[in-house]
Amino acid sequence: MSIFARQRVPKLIMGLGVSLLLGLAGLGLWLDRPPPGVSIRASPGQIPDATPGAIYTARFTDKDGNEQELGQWQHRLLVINFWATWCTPCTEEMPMLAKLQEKYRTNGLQIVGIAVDSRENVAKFAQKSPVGYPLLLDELRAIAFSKRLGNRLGLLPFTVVIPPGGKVIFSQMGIVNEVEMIDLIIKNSIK
Amino acid sequence: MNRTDTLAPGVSRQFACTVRLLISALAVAASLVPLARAAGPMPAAELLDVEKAFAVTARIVDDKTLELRYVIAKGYYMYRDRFRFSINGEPVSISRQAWPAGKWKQDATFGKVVTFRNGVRLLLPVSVTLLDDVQTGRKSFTLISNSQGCADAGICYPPLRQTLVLIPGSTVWVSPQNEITLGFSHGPRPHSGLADRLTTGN
Repeated sequence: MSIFARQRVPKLIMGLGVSLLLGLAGLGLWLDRPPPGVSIRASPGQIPDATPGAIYTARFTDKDGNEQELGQWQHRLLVINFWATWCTPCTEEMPMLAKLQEKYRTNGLQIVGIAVDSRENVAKFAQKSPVGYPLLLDELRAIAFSKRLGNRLGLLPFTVVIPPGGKVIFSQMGIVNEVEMIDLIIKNSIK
Repeated sequence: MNRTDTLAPGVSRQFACTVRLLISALAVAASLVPLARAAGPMPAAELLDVEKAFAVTARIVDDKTLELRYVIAKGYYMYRDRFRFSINGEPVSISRQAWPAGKWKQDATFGKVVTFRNGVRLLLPVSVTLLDDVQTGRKSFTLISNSQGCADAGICYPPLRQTLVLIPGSTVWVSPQNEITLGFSHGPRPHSGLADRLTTGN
């Protein structure tokens, strides 16, 4: 190998190394990226004012028009996700929630979607993108109900976690972080 | 035989330089990760109130036309098909051609939808005579604007219903009245009971 050719080797190594590290840095940033969107927690001053009894006796209709009482899930780790078909971030979040429901059902997880939407839209969505957990709706009062659970700005999506006993231990406006949700589910899992 | 034996003296310096560069790049990459983490959640204070995110004004242009302007804050957008208008309780229909071009957005439920950014200007053809308060005896016209939008940050505002009162003969721009109704203003009330009390606070 000539001296000239040998002198090119470190340059090649340098180029490859820099590219590799930049790529790794980019990958690291991507893997460590924050969850997309807004993440707003209920602060101590915004403690949900719905009592456990009020939560569990609340009724909403399902997409078939049947009334469902939230109390039927009071012995489960209840995750209520407020959403709407017109809310793109909501529909982007739902496949992840569906995956969690399937994976952690045996941990006592019960996700319930409450749509701020029409029955027609919810039925259409459910047919096209089944999620494997109940989809309830109330076009008129779902937002106000979510406010009672800590959604002070009335925004969507909004998610609360309620273990048996009815105390809201987590509430968030915006798309939830999957890793954080798994952690919550594991910590509050029901044997 | 070691590595430097096979390379020219200048090459070993380059190799050392490469190592230093790699270490520096690694340090930069490591410092960027916590920065990215810190940039994550958006504080609630940074989210605009809905009337500031989507600021609407209206005016009478002539006796058969209203002009509406929505100023949409940066990082926010509105859905074309979520707009609904009425004048004095009568729905106002708008032809597709009357809308600005907007941007296409792929929606999981509705397929391709049109969204607006920065602003929307609309001319509403109305059936009532806006300038004539002598024959009708009307002292004002009530324009109801129903709209809905979201933020790029990954959050959506519920449907917004705003009331604008226009005075016959006046062409000044008017803003909505103070009342802002979030949520739907129509549709069936499928049940009553505790959920009602929850939402009303009674």
